[in-house]
Amino acid sequence: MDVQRFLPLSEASYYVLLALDAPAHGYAVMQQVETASGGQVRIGPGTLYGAFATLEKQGLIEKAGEEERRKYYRMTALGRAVVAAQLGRLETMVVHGRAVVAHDKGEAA
Amino acid sequence: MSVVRKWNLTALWNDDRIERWLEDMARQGLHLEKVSWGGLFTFRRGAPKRATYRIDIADYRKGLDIDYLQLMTDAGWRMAAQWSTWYFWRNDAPGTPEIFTDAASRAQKYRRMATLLLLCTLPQVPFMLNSAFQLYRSHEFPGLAQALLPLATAVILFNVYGYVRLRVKLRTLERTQAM
Repeated sequence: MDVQRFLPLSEASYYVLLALDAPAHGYAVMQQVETASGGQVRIGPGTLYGAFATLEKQGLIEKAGEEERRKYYRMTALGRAVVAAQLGRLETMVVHGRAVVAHDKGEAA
Repeated sequence: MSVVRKWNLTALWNDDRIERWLEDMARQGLHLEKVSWGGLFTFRRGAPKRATYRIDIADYRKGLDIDYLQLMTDAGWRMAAQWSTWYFWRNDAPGTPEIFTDAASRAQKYRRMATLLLLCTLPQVPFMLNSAFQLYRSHEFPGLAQALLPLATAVILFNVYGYVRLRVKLRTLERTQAM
């Protein structure tokens, strides 16, 4: 599984993948992404529709059934691996950022 | 119910201009009902309303996708009209999110438009050239032949111009893409 070529994930893709931890449909994903990101990431329906097509083609998500004309998607194993790898990258960023910012605060005190 | 018909020959690649025009019409109480070939827009007369219109193009390979329709409807958009693979979306609620929220997906829409333009124009070229050539050779309708060839050329050039404008728009969009 070549996970590295999908990194770094865009903010939107990261949130979309996480929203598909359990099977979900388009509009539910839109709402989940907005809530999970505290309103910072908003994805429009046209953008999301295209993102689903791309993520499916990349093998990061797969169809998980259909109900009342709404297609459900969920993460694939590859998708989970990519999200885990992205999370690792983000953790490194946070640790480093906190160290520098805390050091600056320490100096200012 | 009163029906009003208006012509608008704005090229469809200037979709933002058409969208603003439709919104202007809605403010005057004219609400889009139907779009027909050649730039004919049919409106239904009603109360003036503030509405947002947006144009989208389907992938010609996929056509109308129920999934896409349902997602748009869930997000608060209604289809005011449809012409071929062009969708005229409308919503009356001021806080509704935009259909395309990043440059990449907006660029994809214009790419679809460019593909459609090419698909419409290319098959026409040999047919038109052949027809014009036949007319010249037959000497039957000299006046007609002399009018048709420049007309056919103008139509083809117009489509090519549109294609070029779209590529320019695409390049601008792709350059503004975030990291």
